Amino acid sequence: MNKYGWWLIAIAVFLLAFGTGAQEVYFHGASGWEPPPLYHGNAFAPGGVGGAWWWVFEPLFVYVPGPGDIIPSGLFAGRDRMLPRLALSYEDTPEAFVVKLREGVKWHDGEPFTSKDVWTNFIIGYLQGWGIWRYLDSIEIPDDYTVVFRWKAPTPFAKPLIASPVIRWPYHIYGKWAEKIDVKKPRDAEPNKSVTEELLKFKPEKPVGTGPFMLDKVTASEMLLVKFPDHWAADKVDFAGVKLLRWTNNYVVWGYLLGGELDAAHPATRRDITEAILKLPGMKLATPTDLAGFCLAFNLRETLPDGRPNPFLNLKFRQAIAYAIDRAELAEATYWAGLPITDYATGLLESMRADWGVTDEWMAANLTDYSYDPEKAAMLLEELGYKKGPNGIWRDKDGKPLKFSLVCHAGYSDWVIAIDNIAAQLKEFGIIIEPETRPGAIYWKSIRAGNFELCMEWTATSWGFAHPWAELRRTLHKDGDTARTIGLAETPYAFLGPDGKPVDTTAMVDELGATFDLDKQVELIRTLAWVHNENLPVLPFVEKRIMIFHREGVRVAGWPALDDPAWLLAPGGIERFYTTLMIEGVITSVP
Amino acid sequence: MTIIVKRLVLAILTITVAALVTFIVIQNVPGDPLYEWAMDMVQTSGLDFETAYKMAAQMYGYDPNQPLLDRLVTYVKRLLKGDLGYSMIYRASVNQIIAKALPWTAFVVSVSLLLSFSMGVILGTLVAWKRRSILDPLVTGYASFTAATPDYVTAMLLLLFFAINLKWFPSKGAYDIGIEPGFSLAFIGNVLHHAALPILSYTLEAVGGWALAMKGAAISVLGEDYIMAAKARGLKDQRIVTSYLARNSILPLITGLAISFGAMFGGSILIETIFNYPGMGWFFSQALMRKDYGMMQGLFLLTITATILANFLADILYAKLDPRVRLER
Repeated sequence: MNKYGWWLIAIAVFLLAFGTGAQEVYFHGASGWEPPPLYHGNAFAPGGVGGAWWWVFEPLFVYVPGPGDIIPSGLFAGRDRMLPRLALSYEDTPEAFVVKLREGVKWHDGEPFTSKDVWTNFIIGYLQGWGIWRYLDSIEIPDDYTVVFRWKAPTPFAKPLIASPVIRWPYHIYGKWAEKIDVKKPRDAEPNKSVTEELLKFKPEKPVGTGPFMLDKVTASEMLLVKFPDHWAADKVDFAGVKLLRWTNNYVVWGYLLGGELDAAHPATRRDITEAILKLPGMKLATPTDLAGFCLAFNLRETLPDGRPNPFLNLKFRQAIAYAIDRAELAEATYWAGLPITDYATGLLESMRADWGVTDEWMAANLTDYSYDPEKAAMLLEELGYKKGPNGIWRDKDGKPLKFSLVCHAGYSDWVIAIDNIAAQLKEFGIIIEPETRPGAIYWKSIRAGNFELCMEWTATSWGFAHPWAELRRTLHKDGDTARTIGLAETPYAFLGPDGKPVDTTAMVDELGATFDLDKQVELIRTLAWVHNENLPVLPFVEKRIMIFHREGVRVAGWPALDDPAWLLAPGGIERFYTTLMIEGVITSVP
Repeated sequence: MTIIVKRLVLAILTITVAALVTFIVIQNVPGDPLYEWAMDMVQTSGLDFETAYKMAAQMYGYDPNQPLLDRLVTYVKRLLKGDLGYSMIYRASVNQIIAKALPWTAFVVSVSLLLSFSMGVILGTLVAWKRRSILDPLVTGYASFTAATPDYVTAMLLLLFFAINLKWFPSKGAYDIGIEPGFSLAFIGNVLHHAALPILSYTLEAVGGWALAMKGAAISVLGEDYIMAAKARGLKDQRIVTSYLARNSILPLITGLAISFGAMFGGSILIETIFNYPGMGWFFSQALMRKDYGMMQGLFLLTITATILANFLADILYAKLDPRVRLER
């Protein structure tokens, strides 16, 4: 072999060793799905799509929650709260919401995406009880790229209602069913009933979406998604694909995080494990709100389940309980990463209330402060005629000790800790509490039927809305879930307003859910927060926060600052947040 | 032969009674699964509870007000066709689920059982033979320790040490997602690599129990005349241990082994969950957690049937292995 031959061999070896180009980077996450053979690609039927959801499907817009139309700060500062995805623009009026779609978008199977696809999704969504159908009268598609949502009742929540669902049922596959659905008839009447049955039986192998990634393979432990080369933002998506590890329980995800296998994951994590995970180079923890909180709920029915007169009907009695509980300690024990609520009881999310006018200053000037004060609690009980016995337990006028049961869902480990903590604190104060857990299958039914004295409940939930209307509706509207638990519709107790007169909170909540006037909304929110705080139907003590571990500089770079409002995209769809960051070119791969 | 038929009929009767009892118990567990499912919908979709409850009833095709007898008739009709049931959550046949999950569980658990049984028999025999050696307290202590330690703790420790810290073994799944399943060396090697930690977890947990059982059986055999005679004849220790002691002591353990093989059809919820292994345990846990009556009934019935049949086979095998034992007529 001559010298050129050796040179050629040397160059070939070099190219083979180093010349394969930059390594393709996969984003590593964790999520849940049904393992094969149950896995399938129909988002309508149970077991379908799983963790691939936000990677393969897209919404029309992504809505960053908050008051007003413009995002005030952070990554997306100055932009409209509706970040465009499959749609480009909108026009919002009390009569209709008109959406202009992005042109040139394709489904993963190559079919073009048009307004017929959007129509198909919202029509099938009727069968799934999508919240938008409370307000929606009809959907019109005047051309391939325009969709008109016509309201039967105007709603200020048009944006979250339209932005929440992903477009998951292409017309060319699901249109034959959508065409049969009659949205003027009940879901369980024909033809809707038969269509539901047919849709539940349809189980394609993989989902077909328009999202930035396509499902490639799925096993019981891993899911592999590859980049969709024809995606409208493919040039900005800097990842070759997504590798998801199956999330069976939090312990396993902690292991994956500690082993450096994940770029981001959000397991609720003990403090010591959190500290260990955060020691990994580049690992950070963001804690945006989970749009919900925990509270202690009082039974406000005429009598207690055993027929005894109900002392919780007395506001001062409930206030005494509130003062007797150190909510900071309770929150720490129950959900250490949450946001403790230690002073007031507005029924609003602690992290977002100030945005809606319920500021610290306003509360200090207008509301009763229930900060931990056992002396005040004792004073209130004495005013009501209770006396402390020689054993340190409070007794009523007949000499009977104050003794109540406190129940929670047996499957919610944080609630189990909470009831033990409350029992210990109130015993210290002089009230006997008997903690009791009930299996999930009977818990909700039993408490909604009033079969409890004190119980654990959700408060300020605004899943799907991220608006105080949903938070306040939970407890102050007769159809709200916590309102049904406390017995709002049955109670002889009259909720009093700021003017000292009984108020119809249900009507006020409905009014809040119908007004477009931001100032009016703030006024109603403040009034309802006042009613919630001063009438104290429940005692909130912690707002849940999502613990999002994310690693900078290993495979992924460019994560937003921890206080960026963009993190508010995480509750209800954490992968929606990741995909938005990818499509906007915010996070990029580290080769 | 007649006695075998009688035993078989008895086994079938037992399975029938067990199926009925399981059905009645599961159907009468307090609570309404629709409430849990509806709450899931409320939390994920922002639906109000009433709507979510109706949706759940429709989605899962479950009517809590259907009379028990009607449900029983449907169940029995399906069973007679060889259909173990229908999962309410997944709207899929339980047979289909079992067909995919059982091979993985059978592979991991049978290898573990054979390994732990073999090691346990050897250790138990040695401990009985050399009772005053250090081996006795070591094996007994180990057996007590593993009996007191939940299997998921062992699995978690193995995961942390060998998969996460040392990275010697994969932490999850039955094989790498990048490898094409098939009869190839690469795939088989990959499967064995992935199965190593689940097998080790099962084995470490079970070996102590087998060793103690074997020790007990061997000690009683040691007092037998034929052992004394073998010693008096000057036979080598190794021959006495293998041909006289171990062979005779192992017989009582056969029933236990058969029952364990039967019970393996249930998989291990905790180990399979920790290693993300695609076995029966995962589906069992889902059925229990989500109150999927159809799947629960099917999986329980399979495990019960397997255990009863394994017992039946153990009886026959026992009689063949030990000429002193005769099946009663």
